Amino acid sequence: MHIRKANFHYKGPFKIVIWIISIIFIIFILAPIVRILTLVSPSTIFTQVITPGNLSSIEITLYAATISTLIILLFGFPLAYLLSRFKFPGKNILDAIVEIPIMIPHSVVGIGLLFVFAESEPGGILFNYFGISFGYNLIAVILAYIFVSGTYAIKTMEEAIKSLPPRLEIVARTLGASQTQVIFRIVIPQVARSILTGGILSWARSISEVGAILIVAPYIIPGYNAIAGVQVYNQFEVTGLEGAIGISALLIVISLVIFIILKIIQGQRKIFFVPGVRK
Amino acid sequence: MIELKNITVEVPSFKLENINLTIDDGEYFILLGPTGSGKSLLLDTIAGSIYPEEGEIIIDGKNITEIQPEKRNVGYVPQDYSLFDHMKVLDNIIFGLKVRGKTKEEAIEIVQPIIKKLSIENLLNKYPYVLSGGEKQKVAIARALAIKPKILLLDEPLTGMDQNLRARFMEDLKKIHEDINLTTLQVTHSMDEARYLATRVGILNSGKIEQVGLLDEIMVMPKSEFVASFLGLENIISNQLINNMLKINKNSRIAFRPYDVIVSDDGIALEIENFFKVPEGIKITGFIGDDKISIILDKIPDIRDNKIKIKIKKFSIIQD
Repeated sequence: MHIRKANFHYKGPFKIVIWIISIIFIIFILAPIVRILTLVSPSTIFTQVITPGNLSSIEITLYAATISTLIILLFGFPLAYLLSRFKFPGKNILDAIVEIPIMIPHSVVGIGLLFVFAESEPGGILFNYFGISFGYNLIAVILAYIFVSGTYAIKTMEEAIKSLPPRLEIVARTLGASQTQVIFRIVIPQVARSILTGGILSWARSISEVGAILIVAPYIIPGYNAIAGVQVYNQFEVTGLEGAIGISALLIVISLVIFIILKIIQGQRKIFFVPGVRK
Repeated sequence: MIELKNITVEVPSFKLENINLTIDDGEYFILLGPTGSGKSLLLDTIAGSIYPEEGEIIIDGKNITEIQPEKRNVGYVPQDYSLFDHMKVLDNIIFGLKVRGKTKEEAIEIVQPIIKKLSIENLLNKYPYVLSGGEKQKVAIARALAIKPKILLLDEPLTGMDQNLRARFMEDLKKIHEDINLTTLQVTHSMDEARYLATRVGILNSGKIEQVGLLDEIMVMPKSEFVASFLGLENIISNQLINNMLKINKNSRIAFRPYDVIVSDDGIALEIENFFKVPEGIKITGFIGDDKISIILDKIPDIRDNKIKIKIKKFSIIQD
């Protein structure tokens, strides 16, 4: 059957105004990114952009963001399932708590984390017991990332599970699947794409985090350089705009490349079940 | 055999109350009821997705009221089919066997006869979301049958199909039932399905079972006005008005379908309100005494003083 495209109905000044307003916003987003990239001249790529220091900064940032995203998904999925399927008093409050990290200034988050995991505090004592120390190291970066970017993955997964008819799970159980089997064989495959989407959002949000890191790990991470965002800030402080361009450009390019690759994987119908494709 | 004893289930804004029902081995039981009468909720309760506040569910003598759905051995085909869209049709069908520890090869061998019986060989490699409603229904039934359930629960299996497909699918359902003689509980609002498929029927209204029995039996003696009107016996009049015709209790009421009347000079007077054409013929609404009724005739009768005389060919006696 031939289906008319929806925008068939949009005509005249209305359509033009919508386009113009949208383009203004898109330009606003793209302008700073493009400007930074155009400042890099080919001759400076190896001397100022691809330097061991910058690469090390990016490496530790990507590494910490990836580890924190995996931890977010591991702990966030059960939480998302709880919020979308269980009925209990105070559910709204729990839902609101998950969203708190979005609105707290992230420098405040850093200070809070430092207090919770200080050596004399319960969190610090627990960490100490396992031989882990918090503060000015990779652990601090990962925990800060988890705090500031967990919401995105959890909310995305929660919405996906909510949109999955509960009857699917019931039918699977009448067929003999246990509750755990239903999670692994029905729920996760059905929402896999949303898990990846949530993961990408949280991962991207982690990479862009500076505020909390400036408090919990503002210096060089042992064995690496400082976190990329912090490094940009430090270079800007020390050498001004010029000095910050190299690492900024590198950060943009590498993040975009990975982001695009993930988006392509996410769109693969062969890899991920795409809900909503119905005849 | 499945027995429901005093089942009471409460969900927000609805209650199934005191449901008592016994379905014998190999029976094809159809529970009829309008939308919102609690049919799906009852199936959900038997399947185990919701636990009743009171009462017992007993299958083959075993009380399964508190048992988890995966241990009940109940085949459930919900109205939306609930196929797993991320798996191919074959994987859907063998899902129940695989979670029970069968290998893929063993499972495929077990389900071969079912696939053949439902003639869905050509669908096995497709994903459910490309199937038509009828095909989805067959796959959902095959998946439910694969686990060799003790009872099959079907929720409005023919809703959403066009007239032709419905007729064919009803035949399929009948054939499958005759072949494997599986105890089946189907819920629907369709009289056609009940007439064609059911060994016995029950009528559900607002969470209560109003009557259980053979369909013909219920048609002749509906227990309440609701049952009568649900079965299409939409005209209900008191016997007093026509007690010269019927030798039954003066206070009882009789019910009849709009089609079951003829025009006859020695009949009862019907004062005509109006008449208009409907697909089945000429629909005439009017009054016998204070009771408003409608009848359907194949042509406009001779009308004198705005009245015609009719005889009721076939009627039921409401016995509440």
